[in-house]
Amino acid sequence: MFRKFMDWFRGRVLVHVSGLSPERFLNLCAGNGFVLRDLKRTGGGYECIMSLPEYREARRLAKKAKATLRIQRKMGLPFFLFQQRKRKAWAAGFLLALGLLYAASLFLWDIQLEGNTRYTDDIIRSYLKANGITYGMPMDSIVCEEIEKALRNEYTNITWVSAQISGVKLKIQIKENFGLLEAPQKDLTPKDVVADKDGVITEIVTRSGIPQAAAGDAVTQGQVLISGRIPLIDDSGETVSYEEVPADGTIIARTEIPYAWQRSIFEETRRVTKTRLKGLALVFGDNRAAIGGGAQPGEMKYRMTEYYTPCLFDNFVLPITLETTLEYTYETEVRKLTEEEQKEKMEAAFLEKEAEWKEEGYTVVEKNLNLSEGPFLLTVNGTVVLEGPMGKESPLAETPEGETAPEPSGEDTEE
Amino acid sequence: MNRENTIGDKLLMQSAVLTCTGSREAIIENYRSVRSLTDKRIEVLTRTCLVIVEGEELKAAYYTKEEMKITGKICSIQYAER
Repeated sequence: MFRKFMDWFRGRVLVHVSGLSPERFLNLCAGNGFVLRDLKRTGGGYECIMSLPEYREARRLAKKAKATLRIQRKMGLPFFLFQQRKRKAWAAGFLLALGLLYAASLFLWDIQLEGNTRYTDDIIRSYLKANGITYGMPMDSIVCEEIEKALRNEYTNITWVSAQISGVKLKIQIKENFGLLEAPQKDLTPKDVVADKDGVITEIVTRSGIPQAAAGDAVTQGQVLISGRIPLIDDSGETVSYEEVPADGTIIARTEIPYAWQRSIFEETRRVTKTRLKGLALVFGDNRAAIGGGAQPGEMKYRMTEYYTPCLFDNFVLPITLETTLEYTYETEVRKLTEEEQKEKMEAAFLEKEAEWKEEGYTVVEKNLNLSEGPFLLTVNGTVVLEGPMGKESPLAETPEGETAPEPSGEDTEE
Repeated sequence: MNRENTIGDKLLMQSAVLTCTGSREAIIENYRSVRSLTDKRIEVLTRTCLVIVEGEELKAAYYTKEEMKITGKICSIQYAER
């Protein structure tokens, strides 16, 4: 790589050697330490590539060997500069551009924020601007430690901040605190755990209280699953009193729920018929120069604005942004969905619903769904069996006087 | 190892050193000059003999005082009297 660069920098020529004894010339060149590349025989002589300084010396050797040298091609920087010798303005412009790029690299042109959710980019950028951190300021005057300290002090929910300069970019990474600031107080009010819906228990793990159902039992809504009333029994087996505790446990059950979904059998699609450039703007820091835009779009039209900020390298963002606004004119088409599309829509809707259930902790065990097509509507009806957490807290159930303490319905089981 | 067979000794004995990579490349060291060079035959004069490389589309990728590299489709390499 370095050798290729040096060859280009010094310049190379492709020469044709002919005459009485071109082999003598080649041997003389080798003997003088020249490096001849791509040496081959071509009609009546030889062709090879040598560097420009070697060619200057080779002319003397060619005279000695009575050979004729003819340049076939010139390559490299010296020849390029010679060809461009009259283009002084171009060279000046090139140097000026390099100078401007260097000057631009001394200022801040981009602030990149990562990790912030509660505090939006605008909030943090406004705060930074109020504290003197703006686009176009010299990089030398940015002190990252002070920025980190200021953000942590200003926003109490920001627990960690890292600010670093990369190229012409200031990268700020933030971690916010989403956890509880105080440990929750445990509620010690005695209570039962009851079924919040009908179902069949598949797993019950009791942490506190007496379980009233076991795995495999069918339960109804409101039925006590874990009782918070623990009987205290004396030696003769009689209940002396009750201890009341907050019942707690994990109960997994299967429940069957109805599922219904409906949508129109027709679909409206937009077909863009014409695209027009409606607005163009150049943004430099806080300044904006725009052409076009402004008027409200009419019917069957919509506008989209795109932003493009050129970037020389990964972190060398140029201080200008091009903003283009395009207006799309469209026609709407209404058509009936095909059978395959109907099925796809149904499955997509079900998958979306399944994802919602999954977030709540339920998995789909079984589904019985029917798709029917009406004149205007697509309908899905059926039932879905879900397996997931069951139980909600409820005030202790009253135990009528004279009744013996309820028997636990078996050991805690896990499937 | 027989000391006489090391490359260092061969150089002392002024023999050319030929290194081939398949039939596509050959590097020749320790020679005196190139006698002739065509796309089918290259003759290299060494101190002790004449090395003749025959093949097709032959050319010298580089040619210096110390070594030269011949590329192309090499069919045969012969050693002949100078």
